[in-house]
Amino acid sequence: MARRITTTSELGVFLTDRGEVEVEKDGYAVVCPTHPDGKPSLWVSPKASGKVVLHCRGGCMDKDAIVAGLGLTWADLSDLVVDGGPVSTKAAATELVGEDYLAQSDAYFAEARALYVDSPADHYVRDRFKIQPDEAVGVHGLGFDPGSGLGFGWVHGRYKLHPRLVVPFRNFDGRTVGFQGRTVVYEDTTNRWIGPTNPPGYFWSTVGVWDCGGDDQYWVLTEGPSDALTAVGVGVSAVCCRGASLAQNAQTVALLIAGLSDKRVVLAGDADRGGEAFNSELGIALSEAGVQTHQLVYPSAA
Amino acid sequence: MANPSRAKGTAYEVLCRDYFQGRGWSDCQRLATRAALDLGDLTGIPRFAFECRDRQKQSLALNVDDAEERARNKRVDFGVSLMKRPRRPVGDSYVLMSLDTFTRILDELLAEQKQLQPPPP
Repeated sequence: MARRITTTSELGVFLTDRGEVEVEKDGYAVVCPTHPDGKPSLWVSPKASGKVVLHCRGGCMDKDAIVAGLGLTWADLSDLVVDGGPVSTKAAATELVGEDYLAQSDAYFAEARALYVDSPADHYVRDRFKIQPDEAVGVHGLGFDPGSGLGFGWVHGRYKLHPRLVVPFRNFDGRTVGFQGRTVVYEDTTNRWIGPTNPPGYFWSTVGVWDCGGDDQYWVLTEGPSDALTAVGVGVSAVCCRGASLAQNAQTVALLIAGLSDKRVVLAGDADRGGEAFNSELGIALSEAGVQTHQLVYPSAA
Repeated sequence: MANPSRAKGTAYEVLCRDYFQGRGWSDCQRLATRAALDLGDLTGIPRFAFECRDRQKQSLALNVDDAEERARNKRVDFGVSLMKRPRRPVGDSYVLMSLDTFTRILDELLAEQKQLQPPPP
């Protein structure tokens, strides 16, 4: 059977014709064909090499099923001629950002913290997580970006579309090594959480740590910062990944194993297919590394 | 909504949001918060702060001052006031800004042409 897609521009036309699609500078977000998808969560990113990377943010791991669900074959997604449309030229990130980049993000957090009290972010955090501003700023370092990026260079254009709650990601030593920003626009339904863009060859941490202290404690492991802040709001230590699909990311798993090796962990992925995969993948990886793991069981919706 | 002036203002914000979305600014949203820091009435269009006004008596000075204050609060470059034109569709609204703001927009829109101008004598 002849290939249906041979160029990157043909891929773009094909995806656009399928229905809801978000076009970014380095790929497309489309509705994932292998799970019920309320918003486009399948990332289709053509590379300059002619390969196409597929990544479901909902946690779908069966790439063969995804390709088939799109009505394609792997041949349609390999050796494409680059002739237009978004193409990723990103170098693979291999190392955590160093002090040069951290100094830039520290300056960003300082400015965001100064704008926090009585900002829309402050009201959002008080309402949703019951965390008062003195604790939010003084303990957790939360901040507010009014929608300009505050001069910080490592954020995507979409990050600067709306005012955001800025949630710094600390590592297990307490150093801030990444962050996520959440829109505080109540009408916004897409791109609620966005993180920084990676400098060439480096990556911002995909893991955030909130140590609420106490002996003999459990640590809740969540698939995003919202659930982690919910735990922190009631005084429970939490660790979050930047998203459920990172349970498959070797760098993220290594960071978690290193930090959680002497702790008792409660896996708290969402009550959906992506969350189940998150719990399962990380449960296996952490258990094999000797970490004591438990799973949060949600009450039935009925 | 008990306050008719507020209802009118909200209705105009919705009209402006829908207008921008219809013209391709699909991320444009109303920015309804109760925080003290006023960032304007709309979000989702980079580098701009918007103050929407639909009032019986419009004050140009107040509107432009408010728009510029929203831009300062939002840390963005351009603050403009969208003013409803009575009995006309939303696309016929007035856009009010200071000459300084207008010139800075011009500088970006027409940067190449500006460089072609002969230097002042």
